[in-house]
Amino acid sequence: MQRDRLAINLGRADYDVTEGVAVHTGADGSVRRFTHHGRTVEIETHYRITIDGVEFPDHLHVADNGMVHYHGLPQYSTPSAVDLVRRIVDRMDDAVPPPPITPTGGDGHGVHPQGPGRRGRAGR
Amino acid sequence: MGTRRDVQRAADDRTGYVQGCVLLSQELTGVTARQADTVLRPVVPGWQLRTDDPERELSTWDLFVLWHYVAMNLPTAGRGANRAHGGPIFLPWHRLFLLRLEQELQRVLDRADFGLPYWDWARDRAVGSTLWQPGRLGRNQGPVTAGAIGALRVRVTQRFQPTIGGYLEVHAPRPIERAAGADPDAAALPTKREVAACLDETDYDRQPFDIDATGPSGMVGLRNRLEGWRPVGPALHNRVHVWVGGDMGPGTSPNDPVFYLNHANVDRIWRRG
Repeated sequence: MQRDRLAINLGRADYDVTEGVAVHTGADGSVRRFTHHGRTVEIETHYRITIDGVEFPDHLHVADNGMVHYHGLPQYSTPSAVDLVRRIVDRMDDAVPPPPITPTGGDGHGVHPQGPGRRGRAGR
Repeated sequence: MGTRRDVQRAADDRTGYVQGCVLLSQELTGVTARQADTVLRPVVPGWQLRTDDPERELSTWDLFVLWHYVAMNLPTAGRGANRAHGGPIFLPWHRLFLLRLEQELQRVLDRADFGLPYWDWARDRAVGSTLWQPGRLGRNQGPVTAGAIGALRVRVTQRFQPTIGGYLEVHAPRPIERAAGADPDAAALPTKREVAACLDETDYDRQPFDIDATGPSGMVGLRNRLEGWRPVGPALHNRVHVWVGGDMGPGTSPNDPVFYLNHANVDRIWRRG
């Protein structure tokens, strides 16, 4: 969130914490931006991960140095998505999960922390 | 705030700490899983709370776990960043978190001067350290069922499932679980040399103020290095989480009392920096 926007929100009596949440405009990717020899460059990275043929609904993000991060394993950043997904799989349960208290519908995954939908454009 | 001492040297503080953690984990608050879901679902993007018993009550200990999990699931500017990690907020957020837990311990122990102990993991690094005896913090591999800490109960766990991804589960009470040294990314705890390198950092944090800070001569800022992203992660704080493993891994890591011992040490290093 930009500084002036933050100041405006904090000055509002009706400021809702949820307004500050969606600072990532991208849903399932990362955009690395930089300038080099006066040219502006954007590298947009998306991962589509399937496990046993089923799409894994969470998203991975890439830092400028190429390290990959997953918010569900908060202490990790690995050199490749392969390394990171291996670690996610290591932690998966075979047991059938209990039902959600509030059904989310669709794929069972609610609005993602990094954005409003699964297929939105990446950005920052 | 009480005086914070080394958990291995201050036997009275260590005993009180374990006793206090167990008491907080057994102190039911009247807040149910369903109530937590009702309050947090509109606020936390991606919120998904699953349980076989929506009326299960949460303990004071569980509410701290929830607090941490919620902060981790509220993103903010910066890659890999959330409201408590991956940016400049990391150290002050956890300082406040420690203070609030310390206050709760003072209350249940009826000791106004009680100080949260710290674990100096760069000095006490052995997998067979006495820290992990049943009479201290309990075994570091498998379910922790022996000793006073064996009575601590976990009810809220972040889990992963191929089609759902990460989700939060409220479940029947169970002991803490650990898997020390089992992760190849964290075969050993951080060293004194790594702590010294962290303290050599001249700035608190550096651009771009997330997990990816860079600077001249490899300087990345104290926060980044102490949190454990650079030079090669998982380092320092992050590595301690990964090394202990089990409940110390996911966003519900405050389930394990070792979480607070780790962060009290991180906070101590920050004060020295």
